[in-house]
Amino acid sequence: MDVRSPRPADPAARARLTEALVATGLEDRGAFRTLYALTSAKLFGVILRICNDRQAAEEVLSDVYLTIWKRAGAFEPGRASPISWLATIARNRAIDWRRSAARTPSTPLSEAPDIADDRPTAVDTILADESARQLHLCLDALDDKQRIAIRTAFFDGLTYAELAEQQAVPLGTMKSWVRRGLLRLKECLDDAA
Amino acid sequence: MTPPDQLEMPGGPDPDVAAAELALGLLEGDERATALRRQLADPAFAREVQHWREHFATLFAATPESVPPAVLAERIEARLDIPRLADPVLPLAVPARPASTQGVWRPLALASMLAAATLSGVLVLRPQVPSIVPGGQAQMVAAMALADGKTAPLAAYYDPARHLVRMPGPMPIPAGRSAQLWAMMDGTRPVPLGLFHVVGNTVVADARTRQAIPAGTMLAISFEPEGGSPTGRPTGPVVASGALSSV
Repeated sequence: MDVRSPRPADPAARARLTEALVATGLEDRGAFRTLYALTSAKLFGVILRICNDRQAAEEVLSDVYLTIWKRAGAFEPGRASPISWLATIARNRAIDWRRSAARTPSTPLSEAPDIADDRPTAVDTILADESARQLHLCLDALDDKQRIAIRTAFFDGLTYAELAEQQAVPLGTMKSWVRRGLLRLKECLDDAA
Repeated sequence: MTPPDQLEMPGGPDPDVAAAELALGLLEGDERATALRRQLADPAFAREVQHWREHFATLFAATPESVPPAVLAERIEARLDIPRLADPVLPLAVPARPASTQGVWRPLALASMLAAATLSGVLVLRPQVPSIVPGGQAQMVAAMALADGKTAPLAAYYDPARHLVRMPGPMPIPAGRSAQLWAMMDGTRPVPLGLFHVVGNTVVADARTRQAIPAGTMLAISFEPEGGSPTGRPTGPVVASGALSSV
């Protein structure tokens, strides 16, 4: 199981991205282009992994950036990390596509590169702050089957039923693994706070 | 699938886990609807969902980047010019009936409304031709699950071009109350929309928002004081809710 050691956060990169996002909220086309250049590869990676279909992923990405153009005004710089905000919109929209398309469940992820093979990028360094380190440590403390299920649910956008089918265990068993894992995760994060 | 009688109910022993489950997107069907209703009605639960989202979002660092085709940037930019608010709202010429004739929460009226809606409810739960709608302008539908958790969902149709949500059948509204429509924008923030009015044999609510309502957004209906919620958040019971899907 891959648990990457997060790199130090990069405040300058985060500030640049926040600035582009806030200006996009004021309908600044130049800022929107900057935002796209800084984030589209990350967002496309998130979407492609969940959709596992290049053409659909391109449509979802378009949809996501149109949403960002319309909703950037709602971003609150003090409250949320800009890349987390953007990537969460991308993930949710990709999951909407996946579920509305009534996908045949848990197809092998042939299109998506393995999560463990990635390299640090400028956008990633924005994410890798203290809370990221803590989540990694707490995930690391879980049983393998719990950690694998939770990470798979996050990265691949799977439901309980899809996870159960993929791991070939009964649905009730999968729910029990994940619920216990999430409870331990919560306790670990609360202890650290 | 888990039988309905084994579903985890709100207020059960694992509320923190339900928030995490919702943030991760593990839940489906009734379980998801239940959790979304809690998110709408309980600000503490909604905050918890948000905290989990923020925790999990740190994992995005591990998702490999993938550069989209260059032509996509131009296509997206060309679509930015599509006007945000397309048409003027359809005038609701038929005024809301006086409260005295709107009826109360009569079991008979509710039963006939549910009977009429059962077929469409079943159909909308299994969309046959799902698609991504460019510009989000095509009609969308939500299967509105009733809060009692027992009766079949009602179909609510959202017309993004006219900014309207309509639901076939009568809606029994308690005397002296208004039925208000809400949308959970960004998955967390209940945005107050219009009040339901009777138009012919359906009820219609103005769904105009600053931004279009995307597929996947949870809609909800609550009973509020006449004229709508005074606080900008639901104050009365949420009687029905369901997520929008493209059709």
